[in-house]
Amino acid sequence: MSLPKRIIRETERLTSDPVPGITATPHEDNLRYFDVTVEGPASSPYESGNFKLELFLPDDYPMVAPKVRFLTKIYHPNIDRLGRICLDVLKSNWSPALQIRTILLSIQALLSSPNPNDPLANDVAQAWKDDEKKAIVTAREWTQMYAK
Amino acid sequence: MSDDDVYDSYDDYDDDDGYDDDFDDEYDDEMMDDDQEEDYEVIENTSEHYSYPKSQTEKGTKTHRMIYDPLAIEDVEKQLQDKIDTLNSVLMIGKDACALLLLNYSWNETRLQDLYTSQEQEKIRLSAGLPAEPPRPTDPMFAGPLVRDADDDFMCFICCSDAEPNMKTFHCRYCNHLYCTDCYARYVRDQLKMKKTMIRCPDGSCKMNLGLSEIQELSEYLEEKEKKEEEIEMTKHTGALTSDEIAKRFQQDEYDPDYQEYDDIESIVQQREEEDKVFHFDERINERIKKEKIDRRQSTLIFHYWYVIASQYCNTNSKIFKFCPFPDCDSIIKLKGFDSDEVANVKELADKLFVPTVKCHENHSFCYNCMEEDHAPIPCKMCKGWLEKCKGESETAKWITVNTKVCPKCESSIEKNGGCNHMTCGSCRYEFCWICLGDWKKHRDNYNCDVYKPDEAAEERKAQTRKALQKYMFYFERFDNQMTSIKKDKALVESLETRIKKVQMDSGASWIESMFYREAIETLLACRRTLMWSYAVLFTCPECIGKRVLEGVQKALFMEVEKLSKLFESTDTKSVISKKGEFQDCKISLKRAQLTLTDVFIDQLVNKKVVLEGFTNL
Repeated sequence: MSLPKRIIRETERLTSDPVPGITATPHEDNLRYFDVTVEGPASSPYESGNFKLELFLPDDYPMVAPKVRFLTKIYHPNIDRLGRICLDVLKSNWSPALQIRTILLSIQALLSSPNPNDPLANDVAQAWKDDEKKAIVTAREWTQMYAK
Repeated sequence: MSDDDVYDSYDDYDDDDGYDDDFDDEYDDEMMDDDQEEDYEVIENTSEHYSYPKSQTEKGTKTHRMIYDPLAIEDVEKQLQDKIDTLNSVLMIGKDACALLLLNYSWNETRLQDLYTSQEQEKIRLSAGLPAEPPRPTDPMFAGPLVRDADDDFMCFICCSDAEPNMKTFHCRYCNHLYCTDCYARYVRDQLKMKKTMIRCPDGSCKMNLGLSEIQELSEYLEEKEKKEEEIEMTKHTGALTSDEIAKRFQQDEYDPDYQEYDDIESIVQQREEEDKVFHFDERINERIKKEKIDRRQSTLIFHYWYVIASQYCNTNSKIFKFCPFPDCDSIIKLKGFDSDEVANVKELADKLFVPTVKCHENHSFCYNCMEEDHAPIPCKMCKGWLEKCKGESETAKWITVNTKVCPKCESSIEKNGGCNHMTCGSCRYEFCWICLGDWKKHRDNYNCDVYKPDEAAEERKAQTRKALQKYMFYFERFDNQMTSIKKDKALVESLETRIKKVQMDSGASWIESMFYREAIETLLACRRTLMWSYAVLFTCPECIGKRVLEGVQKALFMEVEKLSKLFESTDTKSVISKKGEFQDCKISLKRAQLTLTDVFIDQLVNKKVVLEGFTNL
């Protein structure tokens, strides 16, 4: 199957006009599979971390959302230990007019504003609610440990 | 009043909506009076449907009937359209806006009206995906078609295709986010598949929702486009002519020999029509209409949209609207109320041990409380218990433990169905004593087993289990027998069309004339169901005088079922028409027996003349 124009254009734009703090490079043997890195946003517990993700564009893309997963371990209430992400635009609020870059920006924004009220990792979310300061310290430690 | 009168009025009910008025008057004191009826403002003056026929009233269970309305999903769509129209006549902001507002406020028009006329108008509009200010209808910005030719420099942000000839774009009326029609249509379809009724502009930052007329416009464009494409396809494959080509061809006088075969077409059509006249089955037509409806819904965007809206509406008001649980049936039952003040909802009705059986638009009977296939006369709770009991492997296991022993050598289960105690295992040929399970050779041909020491308590327990089991098996066999018969009869119904065809051919009768055959079989099926469940009731019924009463009516129904069943078996297709009267008599007396049974059973249960045992201690 040839690659749809949409994916070609998006890939071109990702390399020619990259988003600051985010890289996404397709695999040579599978142009639908991207290696992604996202820098932890400033003044968040993930600051100075460099997080690796994988991103896959399913056959029906852009009618369905891309599949994104964290490869780097991260302490975050909306990301579970398998790296799966709970984010509305990846699920019910996906729209075909959204793009890889907008999705990655949304993920970066999720790192700045964790939402323990809509948790995916229950234990982390509980810790966040019980003692936010302590949770942030843990998140910082994990960033130092795994995302360097 | 004699029995016959009661049944006559039942027949009236069965035929249509008409109740026997005299009957009403006679029972006026006991039944709901006129004032009470007025309390139910929802009751329209069209035909009314009750979960029980009126003859039920004779036994004092009168005023606990559920009043309902069997609807097709289109009826719900129509009701919602009316709601939109009504709201629009008050707010005057256009049907599109009204529909979105209603969708956003779960169709609560009163609340919406209050809110909308207060100061929060802007907020309410925005949350429904409407522009903050109601646009003036004359505004040229929002006039004109939404499907347009793509500009030369257009690129669709979804598929990234550049403008090409014939490419059309579509956008929401109040925003300017253009996408090609293909992508837009697919987007809307996907949203509908996810059962979304508020469909946003695909642009991530845009908050506008698509209105009815906008979807309508897209839908019409797509339909037209598809039609054109089909025509082109047809031309390619079959050589059928487009209108232009036909015109051309007619100008040439040459006769094309290839088209000779189509000369016959007229005679084929004529033959078809003849056939149709003979086999003009209601079913076939209904089936076709239903299929067309589903096809139309799937292919045409706007119909699909309405379907999603209506089913979502029913789902959010699930206390009043319930979908028919039969596969591929999207009929809806609308609960209108009860003819008693004592019952507030269906659950309470079921708790009083009534069975709220309803019949949907497509004639499927089911229980409105537990949504299982009609299980009258057994109440929902017991029905569930019985099914669990039947399903449970434990019963089989229990039967095996009580009735079989295990071969001491190879452990196969063995049932002793007679004969002496000298057993030879069927699988390993091991010879042993049935009583002590010891090696037979050690018995030395001694038929009196010396090793046996009776454990009385254990024997007692075993005997009790065996007794309970026997009781269960007795009723289960009968229950199961009816169930099997229903399955077989259902297969009969499936081959019914061919049989009726045969009946018609053999006797030269018309379709209407042979309808009785189908009616008879349907009655038989329904009555078998009732009979089947009555066995389950009797199983949980303790020994008492009431049980004798139940057994009496059950026997009557059983006899009638057998009679009609036998008539079906013994009548060959040729003589069916001549036995029409017999079939109808059987059917009527069977219906009477069924009615009496449900009547008596429910009366006994509801009025606690018989108190059923639970399933836990059995």
